[in-house]
Amino acid sequence: MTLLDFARGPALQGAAFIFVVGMVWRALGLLLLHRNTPLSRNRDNHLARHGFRTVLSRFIPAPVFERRVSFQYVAGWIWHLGFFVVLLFFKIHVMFFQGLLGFGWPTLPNGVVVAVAGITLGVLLWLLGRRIVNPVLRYISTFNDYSSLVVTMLPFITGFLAFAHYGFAYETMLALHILSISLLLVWFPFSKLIHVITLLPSRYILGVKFWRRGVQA
Amino acid sequence: MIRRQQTLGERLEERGISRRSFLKFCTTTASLLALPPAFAPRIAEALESQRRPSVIWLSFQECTGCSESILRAGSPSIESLIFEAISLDYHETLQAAAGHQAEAAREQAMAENMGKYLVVVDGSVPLGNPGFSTVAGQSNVETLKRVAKGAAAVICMGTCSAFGGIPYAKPNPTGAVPVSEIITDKPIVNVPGCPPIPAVMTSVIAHYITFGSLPELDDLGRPKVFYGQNIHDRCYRRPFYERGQFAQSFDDEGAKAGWCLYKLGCKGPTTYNACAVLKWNEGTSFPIEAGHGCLGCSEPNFWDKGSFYAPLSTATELGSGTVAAGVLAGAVLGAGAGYAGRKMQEKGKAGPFEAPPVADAGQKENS
Amino acid sequence: MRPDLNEVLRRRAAGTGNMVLVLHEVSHALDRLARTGETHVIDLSSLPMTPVELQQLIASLGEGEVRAVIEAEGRSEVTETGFSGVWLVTHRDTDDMLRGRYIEITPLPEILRSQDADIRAAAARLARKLDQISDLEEAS
Repeated sequence: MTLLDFARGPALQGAAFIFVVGMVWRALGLLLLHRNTPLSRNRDNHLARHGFRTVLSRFIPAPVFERRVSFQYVAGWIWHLGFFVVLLFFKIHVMFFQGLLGFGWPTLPNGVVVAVAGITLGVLLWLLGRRIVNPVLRYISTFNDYSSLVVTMLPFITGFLAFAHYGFAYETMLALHILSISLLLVWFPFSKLIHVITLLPSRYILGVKFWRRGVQA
Repeated sequence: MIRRQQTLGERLEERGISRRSFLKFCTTTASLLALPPAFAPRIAEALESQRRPSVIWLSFQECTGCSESILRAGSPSIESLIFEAISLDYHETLQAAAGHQAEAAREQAMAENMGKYLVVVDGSVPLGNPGFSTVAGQSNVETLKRVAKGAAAVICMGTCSAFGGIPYAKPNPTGAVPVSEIITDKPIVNVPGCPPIPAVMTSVIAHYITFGSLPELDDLGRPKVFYGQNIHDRCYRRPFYERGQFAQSFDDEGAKAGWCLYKLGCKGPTTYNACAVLKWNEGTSFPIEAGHGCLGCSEPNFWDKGSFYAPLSTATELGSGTVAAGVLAGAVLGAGAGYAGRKMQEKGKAGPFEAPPVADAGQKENS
Repeated sequence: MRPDLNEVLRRRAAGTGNMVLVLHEVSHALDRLARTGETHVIDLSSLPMTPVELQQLIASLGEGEVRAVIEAEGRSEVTETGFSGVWLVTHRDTDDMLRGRYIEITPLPEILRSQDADIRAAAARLARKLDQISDLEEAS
């Protein structure tokens, strides 16, 4: 069995299994926990609506902190969007999903995807550098932060090399690319990357808690 | 047997093949082997002066496609000249002798050329039941061991003898193995392909006759001259790949315009062979030129690498079953984790700072 | 580490630049032939060149006085270029497929010369033929 056979077969299968197990496990585990009973009097009549409002309002920086956090927000937006564009609209990736799901969707030209991937990788590298250079960020950063960043970047790096036919032979680069995705899948549920499922619900819960007490957050 | 004593030059003369034709063959063979043209006289000299090496051709679990490819029945070409340069002493399909006579011819060739003859093998060797494939009552593995013992080198013609090929494909009912798993003490050249390109074999033999050695091989035992580059890198459709122009089906506009077949499962990027350069059917074309993706037939286990029509970038074993199993296992684990979490929460709440009863809190909320 | 193939393809589209290098090699070889009589062969199939470059190369060598066709297991063409001593040799097989293209720097390409072995065989053949003729004459 060659490296590519291993990557396309058992590695991807195993990684996807661990990913699904981990995501369901952690989501269900959190969902089944007791919720705190609110002790304060409810000061709001539209909790659900206001909860959703908080979910949305946190997508942009709060005006008070605008100067301080805007870079973080913009950089975050760019690379998250870039990640999804490359993942979902690169022709060869759509072919992968088509093989898995049985249907595909329109894609973007290779040139556009390469540009987006380049920007995304650039922003990720910048964020990694910033995390290392900025004293405050460095102080609060843990292994979880660095590892998640690196594990997210690896598919971009290997993908670029495979696409450009640079470095090792194509089959080796393609295998490394698939293996880096397998690593991302395995790492995903057990690191801070789990925020994909916790982010929006926790914002909603926070919003409801605040609005209940009359804080218009 | 007298004829074997003749040199190639004499044989050609006898056959009315001119010396010019022979010179031409030597010159183009040098080109094929990527040797400088100055080597052409050396090839000529070697082919001419030496006694023809004895070649014993063993056919095991095979379809005779490899023999067909090399003989290219119908249009004798310059390649067929190589058959003048060797003495093919045993080939079950080609030899006139049959039965005991055939086996006797082989034994005689082996005895006369002990340590010097070449063995060409097509087909894989079954290790399961020896009865799966026998010739003259002898199992393939016995024959191979016996014949290879006195050989100078073994040339594995085709993917079956080189890597196991189709008999080796899952579930491998005959327990087939490639030659390299049985013969470990002789030089082996793998010339894979289903079938391999004819010129490759003749060149390997010409190289052996000229230099008395085998050509430089890659890590899979294939001559680097022919298997050094992949199909994709030499494919005339490569620019379409670079531009992201892929045929989506075998009859769409992209296919008609000759766009890249990656999406239709072409294995060109991972297949190392010279098809795109040497081409097939007297240099007419190669599979991609005919509109079908490369199957990767010269690579090990090409039969078991997922669908021929699935792109290289797709998963081979990942499916809805994996996801369903994952969901199920995750649900069990999650329920357990949730239960354990609740127990811990309840234990924590039973401490000195006890929360008010639930009913009380509900009343407050309603007020 | 393999070369960057995109770069290779781009360069190939722009031309390889090998045409001028080949002309230099021809020039040096011709010089040697003139001084020492040493011959030289250049295998054009081993040098990557665009079809346009190959045409340019052949055009810049021009056409000379000799043009010969050899029918030996397929057609071969031998032409002297505009430069004496520089020959263009093309081999095709019985299916007219191109098998090789060479520039030979020599007074006479080897393939053009009658070969010793062929001469010997021809002498024997002709002698036999004469025998037959004289036999027939005697019989008549």
